[in-house]
Amino acid sequence: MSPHPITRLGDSHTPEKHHLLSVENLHIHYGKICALKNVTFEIGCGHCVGLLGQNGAGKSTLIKTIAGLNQKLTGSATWSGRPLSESKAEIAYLPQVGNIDPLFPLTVKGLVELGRYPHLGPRGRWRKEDSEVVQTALSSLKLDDLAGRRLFQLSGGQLQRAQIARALAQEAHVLLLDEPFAGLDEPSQDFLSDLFRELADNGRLLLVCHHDLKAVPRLFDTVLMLNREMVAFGPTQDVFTRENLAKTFPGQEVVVHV
Amino acid sequence: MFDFLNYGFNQRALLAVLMIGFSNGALGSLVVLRKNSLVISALSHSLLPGIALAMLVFGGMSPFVGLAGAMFSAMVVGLATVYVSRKGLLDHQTALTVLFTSAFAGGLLMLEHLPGNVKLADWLFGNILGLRNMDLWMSYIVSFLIVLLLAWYRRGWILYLFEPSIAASMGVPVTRLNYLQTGLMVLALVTSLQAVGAVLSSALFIIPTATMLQWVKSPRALIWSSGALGSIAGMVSICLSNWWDVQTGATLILLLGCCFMVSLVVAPKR
Repeated sequence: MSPHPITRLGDSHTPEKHHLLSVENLHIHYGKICALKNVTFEIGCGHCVGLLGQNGAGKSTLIKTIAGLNQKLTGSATWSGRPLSESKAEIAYLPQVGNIDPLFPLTVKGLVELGRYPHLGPRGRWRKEDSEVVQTALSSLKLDDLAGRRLFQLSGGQLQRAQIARALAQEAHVLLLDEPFAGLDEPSQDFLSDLFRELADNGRLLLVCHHDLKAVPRLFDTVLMLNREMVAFGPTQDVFTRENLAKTFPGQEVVVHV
Repeated sequence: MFDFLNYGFNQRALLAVLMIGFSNGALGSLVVLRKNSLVISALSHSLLPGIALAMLVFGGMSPFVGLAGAMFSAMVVGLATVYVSRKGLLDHQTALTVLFTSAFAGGLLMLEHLPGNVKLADWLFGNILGLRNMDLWMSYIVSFLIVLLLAWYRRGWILYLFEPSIAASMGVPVTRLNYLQTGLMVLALVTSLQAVGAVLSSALFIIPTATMLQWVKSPRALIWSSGALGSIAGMVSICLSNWWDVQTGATLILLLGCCFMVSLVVAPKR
């Protein structure tokens, strides 16, 4: 018996029903340490999901697992009924901007072109179609003017946009973002939150690790609250409550307007 | 002016430096972009005791004896580094430095007792004019292997170098590429030991890439242009060392160093 009932969301208003991310009874161990247990949820495209929890609560672990970076897990995680390892193109992982080396010899366009890997493989011939996808991705994130810039010439917000353009060039349905707002100034944060809404409305699924609780109801239609195990999952207005927050951030005075 | 090319040893040296320069320069891009610069100099020093030990055991030097010894010591130092950094409350780089300097010292002691006419200076600074046809074959094979594998996984390498977790999430075989890179590094080092020696061999990997980083905007251009620079500088240094009667290995590294300094000043920035 799973301690949490499977919560179904999004079936009624997702454009494509079979686009369903399903995680069932997931447990992840690092050696003997249990990083995360009892995670069970199911969600379709068209949502922007906030993964909430304090440091070490297992947020990054969860999105890395969905990105296919953790091999040692029990339970199951599937996309459209298939194992995640068969969905490399559909799922894009965007690490924290701080993990990216700005001196790496790449332009914005070069970074976005990397997104074509799951479609082309290591040696596949670059086609005209690939250039078009890249161009569309650049334009939809208003990066046309920055396409020739090197990464070290970008601000944090611009680099985050370039990463998202890479995910679009990958034609990913699921975007996994690790603390995308970290270190951004206010205008960039606003731009990014509008962008997330737009991407979700266009039928993408966003899973976003987030630790700043102020903006949660505005940013996310759904939240998944973690404290080394799943505390709650559901629509923000139902689940983002004082009671659940106390369980997610035990011993902390959490001041939010719920 | 090019009369010196009538001699067999000069022809062999020229061919060797053409191949070694290219493959090491190209492979060096991987080393630099993965921030493994220290690892390569550590590896180059730790190869010495392995090769010396193999020569003691097998009683002589051939490329394959050298290779076996080099592989052995690279493996020992690699594994020991992991053990020491876990056990000894030190970071990886400190552990590596402790181990490779100790290994190198051990190798120096062993060299004194080696049979035959192996000179210490040859190991430290290389002896490219002493190459035999067999050594040349070794360079052919290693260089071919490096270029082949760089080309075979080309987009994979770039993603792996850029951000391993993004690469893994897209299905790049990151673990395989990591082992492959280490393996190729050992192979390339063994061949470059004869050309420039243990002390300078890491320069042959690092400086071409450090130079081309000032010019290029894409990893692919970096890899191939670093290879080309290594090759060209290698051939020029053979000519210079003949005309001026100076040591080839040192000339090559100094020439690359000058290219780097000039690029630093001349290349367009920002």
